[in-house]
Amino acid sequence: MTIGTALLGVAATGTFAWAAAATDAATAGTTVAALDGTGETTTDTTTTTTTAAATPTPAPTVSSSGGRGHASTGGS
Amino acid sequence: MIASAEWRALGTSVRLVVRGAGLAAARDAAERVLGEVDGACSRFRPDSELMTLNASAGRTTRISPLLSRALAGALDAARRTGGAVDPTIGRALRVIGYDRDFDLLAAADPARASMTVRVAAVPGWRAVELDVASGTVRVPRGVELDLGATGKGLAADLAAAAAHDATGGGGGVLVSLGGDIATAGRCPDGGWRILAAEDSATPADADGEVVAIERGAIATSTTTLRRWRVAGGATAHHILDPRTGLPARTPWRTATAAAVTCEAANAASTAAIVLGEAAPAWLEAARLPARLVDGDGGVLRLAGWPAPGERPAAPVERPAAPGERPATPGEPAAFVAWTAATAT
Repeated sequence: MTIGTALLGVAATGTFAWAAAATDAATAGTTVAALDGTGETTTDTTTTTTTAAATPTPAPTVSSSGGRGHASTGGS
Repeated sequence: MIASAEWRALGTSVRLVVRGAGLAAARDAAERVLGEVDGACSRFRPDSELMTLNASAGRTTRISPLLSRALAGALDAARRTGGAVDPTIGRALRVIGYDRDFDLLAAADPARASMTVRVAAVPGWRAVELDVASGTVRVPRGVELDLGATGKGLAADLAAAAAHDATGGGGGVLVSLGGDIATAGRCPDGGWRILAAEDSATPADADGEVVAIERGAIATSTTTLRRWRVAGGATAHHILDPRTGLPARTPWRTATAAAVTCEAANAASTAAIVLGEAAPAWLEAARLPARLVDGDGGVLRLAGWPAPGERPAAPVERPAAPGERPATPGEPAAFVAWTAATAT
């Protein structure tokens, strides 16, 4: 089963631009999954969209730090 | 130069920190974006696009690019968390009593002492048919969407990007949306310093465990806030387990996670609460640095989250998991957020 997930990226201009990612390198698009009465997934279809260039960003390294925080993470 | 501003939006606090000039322009841009996200994704505004969509359940509905983006991220998070984070919990949240902005909820009935607990089944994220190419979605009748877990993180990501653009792009920006923190641009020397608290209202300069990131995002989910009492003296909180439709029963009262995007970080922290005992293994497998606080206040640090005073580990590329395609150029950050890694 091919599952594709289309995502919008944030362009450098601050506006929205389409970008796409898919588990199948040959195609990119959307997954449309439908449920039958039993709750099981019965169909997956993929439609093609344009893949926009984007540069992957390395995951953040979290390091211990001294000093005072710029911001607090926590629940709200 | 570091400058900051604070205000409220989306029912929570906003803190904007700018390295360099342009604080006013950055704030204007962030406020505009947060307003757009609120208008598209709020479950507490009857005029929001999300509420219109929920009212249109059962029909194919055209949606804005912003709502489509938010929904795509929510569905992606659901898939990557095995359904622990699920946007179809909207009705369950409403039924259990979390049916308005929490400030209004508390003001209207601080104790909620007489409320009878009702539970609604969560249909599951696979019930949502999103077609981003055509900009349409179909939500089955009776399903109500809630984008709270990923939408808040996405809002922080978009606000940080817009604020950074507004400064001219030369400096750096941090946006904290109720403790969910996104960054853009260049960080200060030593990185963006983040106080790991359980309540985002804790002043950033308070004593406590401070970590630093040069880029990316950190988010926290907790069961200690947004709580209300229900009949019989029990206490409900706002993080529901999609498997039960009830507040998650979990050993973790607070979970903090780091990822490339705040959208992914928030999904991870929420998933950690829901997954409970299974959360540490899931976070390690996903290589998402995380800090879990148990009910007694004990802290578990995972997947590269440093102990206080620990030297930072060098970043490494994470090999692809079995069956997973490794990150490649051309992927949007929201996808890479789940596939990149740091050293453990």
